[in-house]
Amino acid sequence: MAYEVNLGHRSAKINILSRNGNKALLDIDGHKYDVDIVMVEKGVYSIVYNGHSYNVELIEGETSKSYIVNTFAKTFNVEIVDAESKYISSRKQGPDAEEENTNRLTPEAIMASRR
Amino acid sequence: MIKKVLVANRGEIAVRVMRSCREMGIRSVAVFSDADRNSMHVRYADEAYNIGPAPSRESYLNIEAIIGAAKASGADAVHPGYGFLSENAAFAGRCQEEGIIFIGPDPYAITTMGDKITARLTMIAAGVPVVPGTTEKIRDEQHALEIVKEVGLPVMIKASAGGGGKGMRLVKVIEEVGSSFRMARSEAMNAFGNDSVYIEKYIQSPHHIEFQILADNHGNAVHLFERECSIQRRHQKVIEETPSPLMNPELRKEMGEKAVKAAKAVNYKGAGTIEFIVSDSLEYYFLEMNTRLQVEHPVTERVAGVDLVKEQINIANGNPLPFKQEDLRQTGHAIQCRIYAEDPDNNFMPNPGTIKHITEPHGLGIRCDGYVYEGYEIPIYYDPMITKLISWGNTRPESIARMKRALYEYKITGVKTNIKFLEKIMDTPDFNSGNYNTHFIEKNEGFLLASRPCGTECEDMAIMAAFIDYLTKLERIQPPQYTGELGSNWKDFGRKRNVLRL
Repeated sequence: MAYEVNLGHRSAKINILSRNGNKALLDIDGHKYDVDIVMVEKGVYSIVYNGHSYNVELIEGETSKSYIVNTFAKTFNVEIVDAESKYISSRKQGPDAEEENTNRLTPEAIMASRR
Repeated sequence: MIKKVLVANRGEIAVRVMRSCREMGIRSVAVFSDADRNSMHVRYADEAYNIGPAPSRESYLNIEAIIGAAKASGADAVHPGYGFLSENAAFAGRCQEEGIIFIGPDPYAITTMGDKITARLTMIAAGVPVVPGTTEKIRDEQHALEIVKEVGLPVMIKASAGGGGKGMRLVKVIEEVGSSFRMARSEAMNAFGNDSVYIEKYIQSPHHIEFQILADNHGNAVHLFERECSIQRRHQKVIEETPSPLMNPELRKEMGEKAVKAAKAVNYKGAGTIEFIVSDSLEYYFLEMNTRLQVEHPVTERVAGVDLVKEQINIANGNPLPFKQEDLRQTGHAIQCRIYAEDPDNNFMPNPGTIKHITEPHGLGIRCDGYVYEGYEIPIYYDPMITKLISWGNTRPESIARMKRALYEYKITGVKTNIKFLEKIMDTPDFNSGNYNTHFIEKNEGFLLASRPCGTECEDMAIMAAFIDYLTKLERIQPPQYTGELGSNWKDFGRKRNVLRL
């Protein structure tokens, strides 16, 4: 299943095509990445791609789906937009948003939207 | 002989002092505020005493609370570190009254050097050159105008009780004299409770160079060479190094001798620093004396091979200095970077928070004087400096290369830091050539604050790491899939028996 990821002003589509241990094949906006990715320490990922080594640090943001990501070059705000986020967002934007927002989502609905 | 030292400070410097105490077989006593219960210095010390609520005024600046802790612990000496009460003559005096050794100079030296106008007068009497300007406090705006006309523009209006860039105004045009005088006075009143200001000539392209001195109770005084501290932001030092790229052996000898003379002029005892302002044409003037250990003392320790805290304690014990001036020499080159929890992208606003992960650099020629650890919450009440990173190399280029390597290896998450800003300074051509003065950051602002290029691949790596982390978290919260198999035949048997009983 493809996810949407917001990085600053950029919105990218990401899909995990296969994963076996540290090895993963991902598709980001149509570009395939065959990477070796491992969490080396809490919040720190080491990615080896095409012989290049990247060290990426994650700081969890206000929600479990938002991060501040530090790369060697730059710091980004990253947000994962999954089905649940889309669902909540569409309800907020709908014509009955005010009324709908007063109804809290049940855990069952959240789990269902994740599947 | 000192057997137990109370360290009247917190954070990095408290741990630094306690390390030397431990090496000398001296027991250490920590004091801590309510906000510092989890601080490293409390864990490191042999004994620890709470001295009050989080605000400094009610704890680390509370003289009676600290004296109380010293008496309760039976400490025979107090080390003030830097900041807080380190240059407070009243505190040094109270220690004397209580029969506790104050590891530092006597109240007379602190008072004389603490007031900038008195310090200028003392230095003039000792034959140490001072920046042209006034030797008395400015009475009013009219008086300020007269002095400015006499000295010539540009000038600096400075607080007599000043330090740390507070109560300081640069005046370039005559129309600004009145407003700058008023602002400097009001700032000085707020910061130091004393609105005395004086005027001195502003030195164009100044270099901030200071000399470390050590003086004992037997009339011996030496200097441990210079430190170049010209890389400053808002009058606060960011990077220090020794030897200074500007210095030559003749100037070093001359300035060192003047520094020793300055210390002797106030019958100084202990470790202190004489700060000079040096022009491009190598004219130098006394700026001020810091009657305490400096934040940047490790670069001197590394190059001169002297543990300054140990020497402070030895002097306080009444021992003579174990070396003479001719025994001291500089070996290699050392640089110190101050790592702050602050956000360079947001005007360097302090960024306290909880450290989620930290890996400090190691390896040849690297020293890391810090106090934070994984899970530690940096309090909002105090200075946001978290670590001092010191590199040493045989040569300046080697020291710079090591510092760049160490900054790259320094990994910290949970709070924003100025590490990337420091890396950019190491890459700046002016820094590499050693051709810089106190205007360095201003001059190189464009280069220092520009983002490094990050192409699509670099962005994709950030996306990938966040996405994989999200998936991992998601997997962790999913309930295990039911496979139809029961976990235990014994439980299965028990359930069947229970049904049969019905």
